[in-house]
Amino acid sequence: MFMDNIRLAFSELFANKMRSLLTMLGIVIGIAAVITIMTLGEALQNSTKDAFGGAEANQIAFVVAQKGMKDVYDSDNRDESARKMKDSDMMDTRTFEELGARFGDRLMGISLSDALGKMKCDDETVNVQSVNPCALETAGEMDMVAGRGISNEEYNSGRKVAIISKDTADEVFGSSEAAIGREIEGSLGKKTVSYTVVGVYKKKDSGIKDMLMGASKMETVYVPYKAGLNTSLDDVKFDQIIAIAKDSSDVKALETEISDYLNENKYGDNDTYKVLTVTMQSQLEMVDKELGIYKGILAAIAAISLLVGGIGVMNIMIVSITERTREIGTRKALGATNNDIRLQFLIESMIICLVGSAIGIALGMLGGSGLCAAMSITGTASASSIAASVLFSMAFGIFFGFYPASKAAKLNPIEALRYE
Amino acid sequence: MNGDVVIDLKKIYKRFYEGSPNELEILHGVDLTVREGEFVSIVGASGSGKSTLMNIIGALDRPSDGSYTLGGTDICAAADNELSHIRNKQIGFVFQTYNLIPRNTALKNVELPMMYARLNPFARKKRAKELLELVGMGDRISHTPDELSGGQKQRVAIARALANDPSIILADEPTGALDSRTGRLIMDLFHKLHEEKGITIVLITHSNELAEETERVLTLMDGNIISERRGNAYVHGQYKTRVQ
Repeated sequence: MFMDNIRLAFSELFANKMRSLLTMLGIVIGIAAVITIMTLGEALQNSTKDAFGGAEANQIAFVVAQKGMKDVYDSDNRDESARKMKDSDMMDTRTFEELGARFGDRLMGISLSDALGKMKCDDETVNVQSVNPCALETAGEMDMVAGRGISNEEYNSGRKVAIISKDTADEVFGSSEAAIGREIEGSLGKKTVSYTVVGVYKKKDSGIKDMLMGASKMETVYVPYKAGLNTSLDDVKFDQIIAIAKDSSDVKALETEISDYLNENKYGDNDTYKVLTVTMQSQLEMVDKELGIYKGILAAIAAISLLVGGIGVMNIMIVSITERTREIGTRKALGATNNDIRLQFLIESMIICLVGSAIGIALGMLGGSGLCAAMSITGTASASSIAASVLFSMAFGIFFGFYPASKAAKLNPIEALRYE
Repeated sequence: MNGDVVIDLKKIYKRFYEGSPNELEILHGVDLTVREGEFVSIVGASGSGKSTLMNIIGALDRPSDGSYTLGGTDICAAADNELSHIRNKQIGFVFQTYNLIPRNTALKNVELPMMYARLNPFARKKRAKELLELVGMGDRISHTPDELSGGQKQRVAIARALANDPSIILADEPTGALDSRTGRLIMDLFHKLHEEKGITIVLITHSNELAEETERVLTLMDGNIISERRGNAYVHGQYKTRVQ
């Protein structure tokens, strides 16, 4: 009986090909849109996580802030009349040593980094960034295409060496190999500076990261942190430091333990200032959450077209039942019960919706992977969104088929048989 | 020779718009019995209440008053679902306009009553083939109604009516849409089924000529059965010459 109804539904579907196709179109478009959006959304979320994998995701920033503030973004509670920050309120190399002694085995290190400014050399303008090894770790994955990285000795002594990007090397020296050992010079602010190129790097492309961080098209020259300093490192005061955890699962614990330690031992007696924390993980979670919200809103809008499609199915079912009034009368005369008739038309509307959703899923998968490819991220439709589409379209078939099917079931057989 | 009472109608009244000012009484206390194996015709002009009576006999409608037992079941007391089952098992309809399901093959059409009787697909198919052979349509089982002539469609409809081995075949103007030659062939088929298989047939028609071919002719006029007699042609066996 059930199989008979399914067979019957398909034969009706093929008997009116054009009409069936137009009826299904709403469902097809709706499902395709939902699948495309879900695929794209999930791909964006995944590639965000991937783009900030490794050391970058393990950053924990400790920011010196007023005691009244709840978090680093809490400008409402900032007291403008409070006393200005003094050197003694800030952190320095002694803080690093204390943290190293206490948490050294769990930390990759403290990231030191300073944007020295834009340097003009020939026609090129490049950013000059001073880094320690730890900071370079968080600058993104890079491969050395020529020469070598900055050595420990160079980091410690603060020698004027640099690693430059492949693009800069090509532009200024002609090729990566030609750049090694040469001086890159230019004006940095009012000074003229010169660094010996020891290596040429190439960064891995990350479209998603550029999108989120607002990538500058400008190339960066990395120099040892001490090479950028005019004074001894011990004299530098920091109003914020970034520690990097070795293990991503340890970030939350380190965040609490280090800030508790600093606030007790260093800021316990401070009348105005303390440290607040912010982690890359929490930032990424926020981005992930926002992407999730956008995905949800877009999917909901797409679902409206699914609703319109469902109404279309209901409409065509009513038309079809009116056309087939005599058939329904005949079936009843031959012994079909009201339930038999209802089931027949419910299955028919479910089949329309299911076939529509199958086509929609196929189109949505194509659309989703097409858009992902255009944004150079990888994404495939998730099994859960496909399963949800199938379940939803079945539910739609039942919901929008129920009224027409009940109408058919309730037809009076005598009148139905007489219907012209 | 004829057996138990299959159809027993007693004092059947049918009124439409009951209780309203334009109440209309179509049947005024009809009494009618049909025994197993009989070939009975109900003849009457249009407006005589033929269709209304047929709907009641066919369990498509309930009488306003009176009692009706079909094969021992009280039709008046049956719920909608029970009426469906009664129509399915006890009655084989043959309509003037065939009423085959379009786009379904002859075989599928004949299978339909058996499908609603929840017979398994194999048994259904086997019996449908046998029945189509019986009505001389064995070579057309996979044709759809569009591909069949009127007479062929009516043969398929008769095979379908026989599907669940019903107590009676209820034929409503079965030759009404056919030319006389084809109509003749259909009538011959009814006689063959009646004589060879002992099938009970109730023929509803406006044609006296056709009615004469049946064992018993009941004339309906203005909602009453006004006469009951033996069919002349049946008695004299005249139709038989045409069968051969």
